[in-house]
Amino acid sequence: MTTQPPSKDVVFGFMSVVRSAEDGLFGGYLILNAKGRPLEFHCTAPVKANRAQEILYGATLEPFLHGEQIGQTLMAAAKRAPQVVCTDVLPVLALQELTSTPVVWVADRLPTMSLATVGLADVMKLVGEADGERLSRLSTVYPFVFADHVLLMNESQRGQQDEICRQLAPLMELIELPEPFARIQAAIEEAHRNALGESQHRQAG
Amino acid sequence: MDRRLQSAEGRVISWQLKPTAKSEQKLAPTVNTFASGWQTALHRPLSIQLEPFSWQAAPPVAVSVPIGATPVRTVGMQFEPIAEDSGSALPAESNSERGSSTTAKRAPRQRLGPAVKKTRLKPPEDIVKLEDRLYYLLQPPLESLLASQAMEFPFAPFPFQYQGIAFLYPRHAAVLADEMGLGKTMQAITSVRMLLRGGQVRRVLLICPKPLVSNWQREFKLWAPEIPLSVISGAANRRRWQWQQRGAPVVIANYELLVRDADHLAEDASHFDLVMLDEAQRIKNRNSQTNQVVCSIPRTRSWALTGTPVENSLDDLTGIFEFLAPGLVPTGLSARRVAPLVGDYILRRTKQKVLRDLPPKLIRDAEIGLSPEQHAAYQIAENEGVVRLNDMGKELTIQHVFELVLRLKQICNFDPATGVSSKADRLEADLEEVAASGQKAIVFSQWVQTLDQLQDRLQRFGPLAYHGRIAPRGRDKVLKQFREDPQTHLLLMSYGAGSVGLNLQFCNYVFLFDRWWNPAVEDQAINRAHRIGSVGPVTVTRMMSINTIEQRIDHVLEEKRQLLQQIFSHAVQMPSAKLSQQEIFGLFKLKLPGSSGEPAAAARRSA
Repeated sequence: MTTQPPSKDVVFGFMSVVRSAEDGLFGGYLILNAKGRPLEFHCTAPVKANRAQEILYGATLEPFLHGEQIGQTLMAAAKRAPQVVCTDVLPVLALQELTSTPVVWVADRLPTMSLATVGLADVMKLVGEADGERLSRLSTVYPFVFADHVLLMNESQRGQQDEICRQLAPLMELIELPEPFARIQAAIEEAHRNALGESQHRQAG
Repeated sequence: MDRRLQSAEGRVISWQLKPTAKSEQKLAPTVNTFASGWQTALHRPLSIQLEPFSWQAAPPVAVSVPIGATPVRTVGMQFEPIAEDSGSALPAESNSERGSSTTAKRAPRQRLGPAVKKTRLKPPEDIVKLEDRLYYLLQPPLESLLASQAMEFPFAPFPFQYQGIAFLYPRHAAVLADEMGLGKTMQAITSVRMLLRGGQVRRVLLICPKPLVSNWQREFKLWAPEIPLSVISGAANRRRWQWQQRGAPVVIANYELLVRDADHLAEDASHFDLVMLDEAQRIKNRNSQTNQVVCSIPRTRSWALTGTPVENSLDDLTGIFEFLAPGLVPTGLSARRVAPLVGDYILRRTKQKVLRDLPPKLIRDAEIGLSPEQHAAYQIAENEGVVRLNDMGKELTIQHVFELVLRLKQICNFDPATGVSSKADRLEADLEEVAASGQKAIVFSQWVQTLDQLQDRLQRFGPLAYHGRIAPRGRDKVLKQFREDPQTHLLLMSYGAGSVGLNLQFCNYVFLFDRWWNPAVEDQAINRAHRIGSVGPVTVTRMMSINTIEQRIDHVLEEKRQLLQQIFSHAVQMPSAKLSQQEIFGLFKLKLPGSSGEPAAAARRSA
């Protein structure tokens, strides 16, 4: 696969969700240009399901919170439309039902994995026990390998994987694909610390 | 209508239904049993009341449970990317050169090995605004930033050097205080390069000691060849004109000229986006003219580079911080109070900490007995000198003691009458071995006269001299010849001229012919050779005449160095073990005038 020079208009979305036992879920959405530099960052206030939601949504609660509540809100808040949205959180794949932009879950490939084919069983090895359960519920996902990474997307997007790889290739010359998630997590923590500080400052005032 | 019922006891009860009104029926049972009181009740007509009953149930009450989506609040911000494509202060041709190299087609990297640790930018603590802090946190790792700017390096930087760049780059006030030889110059140049390319700075002033100007020019050429430089030099009129020029983004000036050109700077009212001081200990005295001129330069960012941020006392930091963050470090604070104040501003690494694979530095103390001629001269000088000092009483000053120390140290080098020197004999013998193996050596002394004497005596090793009497324009030539000429095995350097900023890592031998007062200066001298790029172990020979003032000084310095090592750590560098006045008096068991009469030795113990 040859790499095209990056266009100025090409931007990529990276979405992650940080779980806090006390506050709930913090969503973060980073838009990068083709050189991996930040153009926009959006994060949510903590999102926490109420008791009724927990009972009534059942197994669909996670996709609802991650996809509709957090994912859709963050995408709507952004000024730029990305070519692809990458995430490191499986339930965010539910966002695919609400947007036409391809949403892919990304993880590092294990050295033992085949470059040619990868199945859900391989992906199971990559994820923890909790994500394994989630994955087993996601019957309509399609895994594929790109360079050092395993990507997972909604079955409805099948056939677009080559185009997705082509778009991501220039970015991957400069950064490791999962690397921006660490930035998002650091930024969410910083924003959370900042909010706590402001809150304490107000209380003290 | 007759009805009959049989009870459990066998009695039969029968009755007749007689139709009555529509809404009511009366029953009159006929009883065939004996009469009793209760039977009369049977004759009472039964009446059954029928009440209409509606089977239609009341509607249930519905309770709505809100389970729908509550709006999620978001906080968002947009960033200007670090703009290598626009706003760069570098000439257009250098940008286009970079453009061509960035278009090199590369396949996505395949690693699948152990992950390489990336260097992340972190916002300094003095940045408070969330958006500004996130700007740094959300940048790619430094390695990716450099790669995306197509920055090429002649040598791959060490990981700790990336950390140094990540430290300097976001800071408006910073001290890079790495030990000599860890590449402060490269880290500073790369940080400047990134800022210039990103358009974050457009005009940089680098101030360094005069002998290091050419060294900085060389280093810029090596690490950032695309950056045009302007060196302030020449006659006053020419300098005035140079200060007014805006062509080169990096201006290099030396401290001495800067002080002389203070008026030009004030007239010009020129603002610099970054002022960077090399060997920043030059401004440690905040009352000095140098400090005041440097601090008066209008600027946005202030960086200081020094291997010895604290030379004599913690108050040295006050002088440097007057430049970086005025008022942050008041004088007279203890190390414990200073450390948290300056912690976020200073980055200090030692070779021991970061360069596990640097060739070893072997230090050997050559304890050499004086020749009979030297010994005789030494005894006379010491005895007469001490008597004279004692006779001075209250007139005695540190200068008088100092003069005696210097006199004795000179005799330890060469006998003044005959020129005999046991140290020079030993040096000559050692140099035979150095030259025979094709190696090169540097010899340091504090006196030019000593260096001259050595040069005469050691001609067969092709000695070159590098000291204050060599014109600055000739110094580069000397270094070039020393580096390239295989017949030249020896460089004779004074501590003053050769202790800072020079890279002589091709040398494997360093001789300290006499000892400096301050071990930090000796360390700087040694680190000319023992630094990144050293190709083998560096052997340092510290020459010392036994049973002389040299050995006494060494003992005091060593004791003090060990004591201070126990006290100081972390962010603030250990103050050097330079001798105090009390200790200098103590060398001859003299009392410090004006003291409470305690012997100087006692003062030394309590130091």
